[in-house]
Amino acid sequence: MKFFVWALLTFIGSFLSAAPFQVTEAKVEFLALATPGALKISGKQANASAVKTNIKIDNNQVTGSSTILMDTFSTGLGLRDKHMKENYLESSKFPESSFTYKKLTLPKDFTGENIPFEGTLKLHGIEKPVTGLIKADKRNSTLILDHVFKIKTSDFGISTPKYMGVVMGEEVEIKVMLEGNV
Amino acid sequence: MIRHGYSNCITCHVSPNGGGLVTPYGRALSQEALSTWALENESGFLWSSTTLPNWLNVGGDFRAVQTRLDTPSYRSGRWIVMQADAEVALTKGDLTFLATLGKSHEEEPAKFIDRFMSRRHFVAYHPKEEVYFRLGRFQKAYGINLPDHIVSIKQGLGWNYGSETYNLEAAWIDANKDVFITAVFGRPDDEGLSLEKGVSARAGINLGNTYKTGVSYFYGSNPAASRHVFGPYALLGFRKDLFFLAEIDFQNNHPKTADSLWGWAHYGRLDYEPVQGFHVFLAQDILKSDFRDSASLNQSFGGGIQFFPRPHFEFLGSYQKQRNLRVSADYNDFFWLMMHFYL
Repeated sequence: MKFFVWALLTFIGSFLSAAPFQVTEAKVEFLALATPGALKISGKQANASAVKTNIKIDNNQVTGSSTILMDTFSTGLGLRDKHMKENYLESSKFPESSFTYKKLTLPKDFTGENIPFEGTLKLHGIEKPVTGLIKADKRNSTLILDHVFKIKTSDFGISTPKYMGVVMGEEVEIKVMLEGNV
Repeated sequence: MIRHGYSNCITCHVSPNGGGLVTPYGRALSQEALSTWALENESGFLWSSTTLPNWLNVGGDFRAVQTRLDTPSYRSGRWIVMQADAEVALTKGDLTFLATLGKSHEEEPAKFIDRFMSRRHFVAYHPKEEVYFRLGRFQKAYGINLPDHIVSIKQGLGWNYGSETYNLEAAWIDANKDVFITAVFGRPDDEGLSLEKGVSARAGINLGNTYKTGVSYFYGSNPAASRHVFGPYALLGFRKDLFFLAEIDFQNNHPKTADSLWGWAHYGRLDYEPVQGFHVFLAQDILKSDFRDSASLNQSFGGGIQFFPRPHFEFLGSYQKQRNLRVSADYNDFFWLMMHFYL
């Protein structure tokens, strides 16, 4: 009986120690290169509330997922945004993209080093594993996670964006910054 | 276009160093990012009334200016057609041939043929993504490529419209930097012009998506003199509606029959675009050809508006206070109205 009570309390205690990461600010950006002229095409979500997160941190293990509304991305040029959303991301058909952590262990001390992470990205209706690096910074109860990872548009069934002779490369670098309280 | 993240000219122009004929993408972008109003496909060649094959690109420019100078002793005004050119580019694989044909700057041409000129014609070879070679007649890469050729860093340094030379150029253009090296052969077809022969180099680096800075160097000589010109330039796109262009050049001129001179030229322009296509700007322009001679100073400052109402049209109005100390210490009033139309 004593063992049963101990095990129950341990189980409940471990559950309670999985602290939610309450994200207060989120930024998602992407960068791709196009030819000719090595044109940098960058975009970011124009609406801060477009990112929803459900992330927990348990003994420095990060679990959970984030979603973003694809229609909120902007590259700074209206026609380019229209083509991106209608022809390539098909945001009316695939309105959300999501990311789920598979493996991320935060360091005991936040010294600014890059930490590898693994996860699953669902984009354009296709799920693929992705890997990247995170730079974590913690000040008091505020945690900042800066993610960087690369994807290939073809892996997610997105055709090569091209317009009037300018062709975008397949590789896209994605940066995600999450800031919140733990 | 730096404020929109376009740091390299070749995305929108056939010429790796920019200027002149625009690509189909450049036409689309002029409609999307430069013009106040536009209908669909309005920026296409002949308003998209005809479809060109992929290997052919055709355009044309008409650029004219009305000037007015008010001084205490006289007033003068001039209407100048700076450019009236047709331009054709043919592309086959890695090779592009481009040529312009238009009105010459000869005021009283002796022969019918002298009424015409080709200010630019070259063969470009693009063997791999970052590498470009060009051989022919064109303006070498040096500093900021401004269409406003009367400024000190262009006309003041002797690089006016019509000063295009025969060159061999090699360029490396990638996402973070560009380097142009040009062998300048002057005008072997018209040695009477005494245009300089020499070498030019320009290297630029992108700082983020909307900032670019770099340095340029030119060495040239003609029968009368030789000179070194060098200096930094910057294109700073603070926001989509606010940018700053600046260039400073130092010149060491060695006349064959006199002592060498050090001087400098500077141009700066702060530009704000409150409504897409409508710009207001402040500019200053300084040329001092000899540091030891205070009278060698030419300077102007002022402002203006630039308006791109619809694709194919550009208007620029500028008012400047300007003085040339060789003539007078007083500032004169200089008005400049420029109209540019492209096919």
